[in-house]
Amino acid sequence: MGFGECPAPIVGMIIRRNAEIGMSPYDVELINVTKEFAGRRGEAPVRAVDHISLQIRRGEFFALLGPSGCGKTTTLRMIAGFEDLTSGQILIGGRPMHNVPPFHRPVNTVFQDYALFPHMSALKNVLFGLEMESVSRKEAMARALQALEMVRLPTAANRKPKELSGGQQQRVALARALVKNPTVLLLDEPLGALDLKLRKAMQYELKEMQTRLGITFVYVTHDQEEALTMADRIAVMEGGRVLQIGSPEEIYEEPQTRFVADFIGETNFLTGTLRAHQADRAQVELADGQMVGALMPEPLAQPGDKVTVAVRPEKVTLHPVEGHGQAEATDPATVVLPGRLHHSVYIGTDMRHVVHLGETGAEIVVRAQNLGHRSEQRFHAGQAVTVRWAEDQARILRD
Amino acid sequence: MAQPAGGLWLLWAPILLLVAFSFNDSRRATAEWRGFTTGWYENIFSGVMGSEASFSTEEMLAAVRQSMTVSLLAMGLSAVLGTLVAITLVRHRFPGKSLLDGLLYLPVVIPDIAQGVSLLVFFSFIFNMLESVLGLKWYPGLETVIVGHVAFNISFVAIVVRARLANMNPRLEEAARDLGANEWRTFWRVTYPLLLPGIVAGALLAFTLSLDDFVVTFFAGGGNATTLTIFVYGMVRQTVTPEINAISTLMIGVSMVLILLSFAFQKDR
Repeated sequence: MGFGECPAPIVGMIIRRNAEIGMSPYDVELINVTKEFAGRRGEAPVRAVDHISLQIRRGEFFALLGPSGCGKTTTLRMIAGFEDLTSGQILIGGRPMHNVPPFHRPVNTVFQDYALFPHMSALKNVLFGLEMESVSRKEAMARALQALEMVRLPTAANRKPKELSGGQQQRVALARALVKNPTVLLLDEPLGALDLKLRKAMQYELKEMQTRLGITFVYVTHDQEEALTMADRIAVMEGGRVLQIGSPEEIYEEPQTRFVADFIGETNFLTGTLRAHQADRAQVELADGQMVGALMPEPLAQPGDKVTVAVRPEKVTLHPVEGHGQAEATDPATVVLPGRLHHSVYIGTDMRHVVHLGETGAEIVVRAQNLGHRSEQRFHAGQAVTVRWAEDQARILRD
Repeated sequence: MAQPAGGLWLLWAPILLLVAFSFNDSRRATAEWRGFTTGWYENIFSGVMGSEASFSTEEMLAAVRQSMTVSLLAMGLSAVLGTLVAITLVRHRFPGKSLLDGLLYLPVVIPDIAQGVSLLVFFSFIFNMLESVLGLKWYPGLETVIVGHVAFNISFVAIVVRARLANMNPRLEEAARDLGANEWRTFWRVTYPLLLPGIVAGALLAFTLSLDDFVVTFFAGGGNATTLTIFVYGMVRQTVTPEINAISTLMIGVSMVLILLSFAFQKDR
């Protein structure tokens, strides 16, 4: 794996360009950007991007993550210059991009379907961008060949795109964009068309290359796992808005809204009424009167408000109810709820148990790592169980 | 099998009969089969004529030259204009676009005779204006025929090129601009090469339609343009000779080759 040595001239040029820009610590800044598309005849305009502000740091791997139609691709296209802004401002390397056409912006794009020129060979595709600059033929050829080598495709230079596999086309698209030494590389679901195994391999390679070249990547994806494994920071988008920006860990461990918690990984939601709130701890009364504790770092709700408690399946443990008594005494900071095991699914690395809680019938998913011990506790459907989790693993969310 | 085949025979019978009689060894063009000959083809190229019609190979070749002049110029002009129309319709948004889109089919569906008469009216109006305003005297001729042919050929070219453009991934042009190409270079390096098969197909279609046209040429030429179709018509007015069968067969052959070429270009590579 890996791309081998990065050609020195490319690294040199990237460093030089970054030094020239100097001023702003951000490579890309979006200030209150809105994009509306004209509606169909007689209908209101459609707001694809709704007042979003982002600051993408130099050399950062930044992911725009969200379901289809959330505005992430439109955002990327505005940075590239393919779409005009309805309002707001975009700065690249500190320079306002208003009225700057795509061919004058220091960014390059890897398109979702690669958009390789079908009438040109792989090499001609990579040369295209250099022919648009005042680069000598000799230098252009050397740089193009280096770029193809960097993406490990030196032998495919003379082949037309349709003679290349999906993965190879992806690499040509990458080489074609990187050979321009962009300040920022924009990637629109670049791995979407690849099969799972190739996608995993390319995730690793892309991340490794980004780290090595130090180019800022803005990476659009709807795949939360891809964003979590590759990005330095993630902006989760929905309905044209940015819901949360943070590191993968922050997004996963401290989701602020129900949507984010639900979209990133699996989450259990319990609804209830906020009864008490002290420091970052809250007490919530569930529908059946059970009190559960949870974290509420920000005052999102007042006592009496309906709230949602979220807890990740892997933070929950499953315990058998022994004999006729209730579960043995536990640490007061642990939530213990009785229920009945509905079913268990074996998914290789994990066991996934679905538990229906006592009187409310609310569903709780428990993920237990498959440690492979023969002596491990076995559960069967219909069995009375308790589910437990530490209070500080559960969070109160905004709806 | 039998019924559709019967329909096909009806479709092809007149043409097959014409082709057969162009090889029939009988002076009477529509008589019964008397045996195979290529004599009529030899006649049309050596100026030998029957007594029924006045015919000279030179006149015919002059008519062929006029046809070529008209068809080539009409093809070139309508290829350029039709391509521009197609690009405007597919890549740009403007008020009245859907109307213009629909109007594109107008020259395809209106009767030839109506198109011919409309051109006649149009040119006499223009020529009257020129004479009364500028004192210029102008007459119909090859130029007006070419304008008339371009008027209907633009639609055919535009329809063929538009189909190709609509199938072209708009990301390709975006990629070119992303890589530093301005609009002009994007067009010549990416759009045009990818459209070229469509433009060639449309141009071949335009050339064929122009070569085969009689009605529009008849009206727009005002008697001053003698293309091959006008020439053949002039001869048929006297009588149908086997030589006319031979000329018509050749015209069918040329048209078929051109149309097959056009289809080949419309297919993806």
